This record gives sequence, C-alpha cells and structure tokens, in this order.
Amino acid sequence: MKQKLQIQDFADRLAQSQGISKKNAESFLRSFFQVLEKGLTTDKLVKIKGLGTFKLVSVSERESININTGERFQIIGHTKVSFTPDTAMKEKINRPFAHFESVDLSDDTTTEELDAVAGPMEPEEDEMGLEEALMEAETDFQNYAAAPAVDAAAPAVAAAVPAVDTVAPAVDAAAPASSSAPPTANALPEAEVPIRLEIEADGAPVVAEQAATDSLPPAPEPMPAIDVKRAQTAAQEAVSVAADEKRTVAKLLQVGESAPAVSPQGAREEPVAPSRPQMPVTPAVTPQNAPSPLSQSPGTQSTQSVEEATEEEPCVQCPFLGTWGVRLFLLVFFLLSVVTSYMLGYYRVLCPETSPSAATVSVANTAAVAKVTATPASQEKLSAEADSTAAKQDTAAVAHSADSVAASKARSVPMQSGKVAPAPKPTVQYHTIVKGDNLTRISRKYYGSDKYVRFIIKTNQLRDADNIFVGLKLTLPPATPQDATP
Amino acid sequence: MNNKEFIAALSQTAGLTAKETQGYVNAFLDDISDTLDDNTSFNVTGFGSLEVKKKMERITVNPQTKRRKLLPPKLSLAFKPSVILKDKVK
Repeated sequence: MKQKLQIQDFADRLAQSQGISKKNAESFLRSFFQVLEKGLTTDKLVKIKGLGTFKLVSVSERESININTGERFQIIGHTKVSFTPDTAMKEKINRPFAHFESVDLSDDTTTEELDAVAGPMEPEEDEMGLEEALMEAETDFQNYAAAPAVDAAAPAVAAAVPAVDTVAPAVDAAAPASSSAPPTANALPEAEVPIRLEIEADGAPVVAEQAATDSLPPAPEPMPAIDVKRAQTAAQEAVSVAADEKRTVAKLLQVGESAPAVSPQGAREEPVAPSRPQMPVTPAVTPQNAPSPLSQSPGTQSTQSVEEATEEEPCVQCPFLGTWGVRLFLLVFFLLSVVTSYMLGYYRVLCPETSPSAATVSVANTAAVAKVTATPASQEKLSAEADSTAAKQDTAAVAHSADSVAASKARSVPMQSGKVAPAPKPTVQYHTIVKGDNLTRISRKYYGSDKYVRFIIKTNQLRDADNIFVGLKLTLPPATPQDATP
Repeated sequence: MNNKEFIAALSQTAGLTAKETQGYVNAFLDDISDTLDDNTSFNVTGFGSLEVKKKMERITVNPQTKRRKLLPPKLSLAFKPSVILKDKVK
C-alpha cells in the first residue's frame, strides 16, 4: 500500500550510514529543507545537484468557470512552486523501466518492443484494409466448401480484385448461366457460352482461377485448364465432324439436341455429356452405324442417369457445391461448345479465304480423331491428346481453324489463355490485302484472336490502321500470347 | 541559488564543512531515490511531498520530420508543495 515516509525514517538511515547520531542526522535534514525553502523564497530558484531544481513560477490572472454553477470567475495571479528532477535522479527513479526504448512508428501497429508492464494504451492504426479484405475473402470462400484451392485462391483473389471488377459482370452472367444450365439444358443459350468461355480462357490465369473459384470454389486448379482444354478438344472434334461428313454431323446435331430432350432435365446432363466425346469418334469410324451407336449411347446412359439424378439433386439446387456440380457444368459447357463450333464451322462464319485448306483440315483432323479413338474416353486424356496433336500440326490451317472455331465461340470477344495458346506458327506468314479485309479479321485469322491487331500494326509499322489499301502486303510473324493486347 | 550556494548555506547552518555536508546530502539523495518507488512517497511537513508517478506511453510527433515516435512508459518524480509553503510564496 501507499507508504508515506517522514524525515525521521531517512534520518535514521542517514545516521546509520554516515556514522552520526540520529539527532544530528535529523537536525541536518530539517535544516536541509529550511535552507531550501529560504533560498526559494529569496532567490526564486534553488538547484540541488542530484535532486533537481525548485522554482517559483508566477502565474498570471486568468478567467475560469465554476464547475458547479457555471458562472465565470477570475483566478487571481499567484506564484506556484515547480520542481524539475535532474537527470541523475530521473534515471534512478526510472530504474524499473530503464530497459524500455522509444519506438519509431512507421506503419506498425504492434508494440512488441514494449514490455507488458506498461498499460495497453496503444492507438492502433487502421492499416488493415488489405488484410481485412483477404480475411473476408477467405471466409467467404470457406462458406462454399473447404477446399485446398482456398489458400491458393485467397492471394489470387487479392491480386485479382481489380481484374475481377472488369470480369465481374461477365462472371455474374456466367454464374446464373452455370446455375441455370442444368435446369435449362434444352434452351442451350448460346450467349452464355461465349461469356463463360471468355472467363475461362481469359489471358490471366489468375482471373480464370478467380472465376473458377468464384463459381466453382471446390474446383481444384487444373479444372479450368481441363475445362478449356476440353472445350478445345470439343472444338477440334466438332470441326473434324463438320468437315468430314455432313450427314453424320447432322445426325450428331440431332442427337446433340435430342439428347437433352431425351434425358430428363437437370442431373442427366452429366451422363449425356460423357457420351459426347464418343459421338464424334464413332461417326468418323462407322458413318453408317452412326445413328445406332448414337441412339444407343443416351439409352445406355439413361440407366446411369437415373442413379446419378438422385445424387445430383442437391447439387442442382446449390450448383457450386461439390465436384458433381463442377463436372455437370463442364459437361454442359462441352456440349454447347460442340454444337456452336459445328454451326460456325458448317456455315463458315470465319476465314472465307481458307476454303482450299478445308481438305487439309479434314485430313489432319481425321488423324487427330484416329489418335483420339485409341485413347480411353477420359476427358483429361482427350485434352492432352488434343493439345499434343495440335502442337504437332504444322499446317497453319489446322491450328488456325481450331483457333477460329475457338474464337468463334467467343464471337466477337477474344479468347486468349496461357493454357490454350494457339499453336505458334513456326514460320512467318504474309498476307496481301484484298478488298473487304480488315485488320481485325486478319488478326483473327492468323493469330486466332483480334487482340493481335496492335501487334500487326507494330510489326508492319503501319502509320494508320484505317488506311490499309488493297494489295498491301502484311508480314505476320509468329506471335506469342504476350504480344496480344489484353 | 545554485548547488554551491545551497551547500554553503547548509553547512553554515549545520556547522559542518562543505565537503561533509555535500557527502551527507549525496547520501540522503541516494537514499531517497532507492526508497521512493511506485508505492512510496516522502512527505516533509511544511514543505511538501515527493512522490513517484507512473507516466503511460505516448505517441509524439517530431514537428520537423513529422515522424511519429512511441515513447515508453516511465516513472517520474513529482513534488507537491504543501499548503503552508504555497501561502508563504504567494
């Protein structure tokens, strides 16, 4: 408790230490303070080495307010006694806290340097913006499902936050699209496909991850890659089908459209979709038997679908939970891409100049298809094959037609992805402008995307992109996705 | 009144040499600093009291560099003049 010491106590100790009588010590100390007081009144300042300085400070008159009544009154001018300890005394007194050091604050919010002895009165600074956002993002993800991708996604989310803003409307369009895809399989809205593809195949893999994790949180990272690869596979296969025999393609289309009709809504999409890769394969091999295997496959799958329907019921309602929802979505996507690519290939929406290369396209693609038949119908392997075949293809036409098909899915929206890069053309190409050409079309034709327009302008040193004339020869060297304008 | 004057006046009052008084004064002040702590105060009637006060840590800003600094908590010595003394000096 509070201990109040008197002169006596100090006098006793002084007598003991100095070897003088207690009486003497006490009188000494008394005179100490008397002299001090006298000196203070006389000189208004007394400085004692080892203790401090006593000063008389005059305070001027000031106005003040009575706390209780609130009325003003004057505090008269007076003199007050001030004391300032000197350095030696300060240090001695502060010995328990001597090890503390002052800390430079630069954006720190922690007080690790100070002991817990001190009162916890640090004002914390509000630098929590990014961290808080990350935390919130993480909790949001965890709401969907516990997934390993969360940790990877969280920093990706933070990084992709600005990118997300641009993709957000597209993602929002995709989210309802994906969720509505199962129930509205019959509708097959084509508009959703390009948007979804755009997100999946966007230049930044981070954004693709973000979109994937947003709409499909539990999807492990390779999923978007597989998804796009599958789309690519579908594109190539669809092209092969289209170029091959229109009759079988027509049948494919029929089945493709009827399959959703045949299979009940919702969960059945998934079983139908796996049969999709089989369908382009089988017609190529046995065109005559095309109808039968095609008609059989939905039939055989239907039994599966019954079993799977019950499993997928909860997933339909919460489409972003569990891998079933992901697979379902991806397969619907695959289905849509097959149909779209066929339509565009059939009607030759893009690249009218490459009509002579159609033969080479069909030849090359039958080879691709033949390779595909050898592998089991697992979609990942298909995509791997497709990629390897695509890489092997030297003819610009094949890759370019695949690109064009892939690009066509996105319609006017470009499709660029590090994972689905169009096979780089090994040699420089040249194009002479003819009437009706424009750089966008040329870019799409040779690079698979109209994001290369600026690249074309740069490499050809065109002053004015609008002022290209008939007969102008453009140099189109091989370009990497880095050359594209994002 | 600086230290020398004070010691001189004190030695005269106490009847001791300056050296002696200085010695006693030093011993006395050491004793004070050792004894006084957070819970102990020293009261001299008619003069005032010396007590140790705890000062919390605070953030200060260097007005020139505008840099902020966190000063740690510390103990400091405070003097409270008694009423009698205050009247005397008024």
